[in-house]
Amino acid sequence: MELATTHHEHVTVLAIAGSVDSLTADALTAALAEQVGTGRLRLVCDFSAVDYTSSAGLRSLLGALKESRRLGGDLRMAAVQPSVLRVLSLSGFASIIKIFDDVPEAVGSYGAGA
Amino acid sequence: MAATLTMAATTAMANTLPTAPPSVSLVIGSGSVKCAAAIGVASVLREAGIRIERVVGCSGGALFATLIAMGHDADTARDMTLRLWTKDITARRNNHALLSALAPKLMGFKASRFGLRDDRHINRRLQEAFGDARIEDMPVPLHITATNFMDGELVDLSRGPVAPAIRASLAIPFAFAPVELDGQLLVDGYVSDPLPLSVAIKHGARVIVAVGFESPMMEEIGSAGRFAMQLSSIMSNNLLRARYAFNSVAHHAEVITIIPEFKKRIRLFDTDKVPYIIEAGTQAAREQIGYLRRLLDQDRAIAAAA
Amino acid sequence: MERPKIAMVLGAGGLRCVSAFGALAVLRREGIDVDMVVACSGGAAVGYWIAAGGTDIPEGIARYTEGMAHSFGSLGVRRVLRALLPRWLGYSPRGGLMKDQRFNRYMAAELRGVRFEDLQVPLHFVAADVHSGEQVVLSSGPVFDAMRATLAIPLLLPPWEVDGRLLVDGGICNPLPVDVAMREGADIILAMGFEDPLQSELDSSVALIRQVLAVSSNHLMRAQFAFHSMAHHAEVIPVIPDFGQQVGLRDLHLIPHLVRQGELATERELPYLRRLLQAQLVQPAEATA
Repeated sequence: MELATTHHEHVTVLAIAGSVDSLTADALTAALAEQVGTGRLRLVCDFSAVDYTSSAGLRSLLGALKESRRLGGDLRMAAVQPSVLRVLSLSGFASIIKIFDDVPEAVGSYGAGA
Repeated sequence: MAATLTMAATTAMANTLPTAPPSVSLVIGSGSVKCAAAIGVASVLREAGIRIERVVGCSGGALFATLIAMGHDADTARDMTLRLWTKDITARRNNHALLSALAPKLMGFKASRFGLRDDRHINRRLQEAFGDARIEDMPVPLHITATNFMDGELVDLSRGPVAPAIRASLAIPFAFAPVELDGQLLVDGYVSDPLPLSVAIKHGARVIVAVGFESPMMEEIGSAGRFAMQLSSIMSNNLLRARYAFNSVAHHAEVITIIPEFKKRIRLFDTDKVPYIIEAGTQAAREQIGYLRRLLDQDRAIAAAA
Repeated sequence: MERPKIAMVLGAGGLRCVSAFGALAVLRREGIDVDMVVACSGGAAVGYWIAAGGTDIPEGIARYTEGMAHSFGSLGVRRVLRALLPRWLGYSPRGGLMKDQRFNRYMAAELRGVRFEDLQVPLHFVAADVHSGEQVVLSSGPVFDAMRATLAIPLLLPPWEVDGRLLVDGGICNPLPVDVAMREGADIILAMGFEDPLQSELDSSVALIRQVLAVSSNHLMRAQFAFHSMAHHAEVIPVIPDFGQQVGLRDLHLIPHLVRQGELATERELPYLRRLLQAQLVQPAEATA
């Protein structure tokens, strides 16, 4: 799994490539924690290059989602592939997290200078 | 990861903060007339200076969520309920529906019109009570949930005329016909989620106060009709618990669940028991208000410190 | 050094549960052993076959097909249809449910003398208590009674009494019981769940009934799956075959297609499953280094 971080003015985008599963969850957790820990609470996870996700991977996302919200921010998702979206729906994520078609929409959802 | 603040530290900070009022999101699940308990809960919150920042209502809860979102005090809400919720709203049969069920092709069965009960009364009552009021104009942001009957998904109605939305949320399959709204065929919200915490969570709720009810188990199951109802209640209760469990795990802040205790049996149209139901809601909320206050102080401190 | 415990959880799904044979074929090919089986409703027959240590999959499928054909023969199709109609349409409470004596005799004969304790791996069936609404997990004693209980699909087969409790199909409580596997210590859970298909046309009251049941049932399955996956450390791998069409209980001619979809769905999860098993085998050595 590969991670690439881009900082916009008020929103940080984490582009993830590969598989988000129990073998890669720790790396993802650490990366997200680093953002939240340095005050970057408005996160977008770019899932366009994620081809697989498991329950362990989702738990990692959930941890960051909760922590960012607790501190007044949020974690939103963008460009999720159909097969992964299926798992997100099954795992209830679709009902509690905002998912957008593409990264610009997800970034824009935070509002200007939010 | 930001350090977790201790209770003492956060309370200390809360005491020195310029105060945004403590606020909660209120979610009222399905439970027909028992949902009136939410009126009691809302009055306790008001009494304690806790602002209701958002209300979500499902099925019977949609009616009371609307009354609360409109800002009505407990007495007005109670009086409106007594006028609205009477036996005659389900008294009349819809004979055409009955016939179309027996001979669907001959009678032109239309799912969008199928309901065994005539809904003219309930429609008129809702119109009388709410007129042309719109959801987005409410003093408190309001969400009424229903279920899209074709794809099964939960529908969050947060805009549009309030009367049809409540009617849609109350569209118990078979009893009342589904409601067509904005190109969707809608039925009762409880079919997808009897206590829609996810709507509050998705809209950025922090502390959530939830008022929900399980369907009671039948005492004796002598007939197929009762058997079917029992199974339906079992499934509905399991759905309620599973959605609640998931939403609790997924939510970053607390969900305070207020479960009023009813010592008397409450049936669908025990409208005369509404004052008793409201009082039960008041009592149940009073039991939790101390903890809720401390929780809100701590939560505001965390958010402010971030 | 212990390898991770692998569970197969076969959810409710009528005839579609036969796709589990396809999943098993893939696992066998990979040399992956299943350490426990949990099943609900339609998943019970295949679940039993797996737990009993069946080795000849084509033979297992043939026997399953024969069993399904026989079941419908003894239950009577027209009765099934009448039973699905609501009461006020003239269906009587007593006579409405299936006359199940022949079916029971057939099943009892097939499972004569078989007890849970005799099986190769632990097997658990999930049923629901009609009076209390509670989930009941059946893991010991005669397999026949437990299977008959979990197969007591409402309106199809009458409830069945086990140890003084009147039980039906566990689908109204827990259609995809991954939590049972978790409680029993599974580390990796292959969960085969089947969503009820939604009606595209609501042209009769029967269609309405089906739609309401399907919608609620699907939400129930998803919500429980979601909760357990998030709340527990076990790795849950959903194996969801794509059947591409509605599958009725009597569509026996579709069985080869269903099995094949089960294979394909499992193959899709293989890359991760292989990595997972590799890593778990490697970890303990690293831990002691």
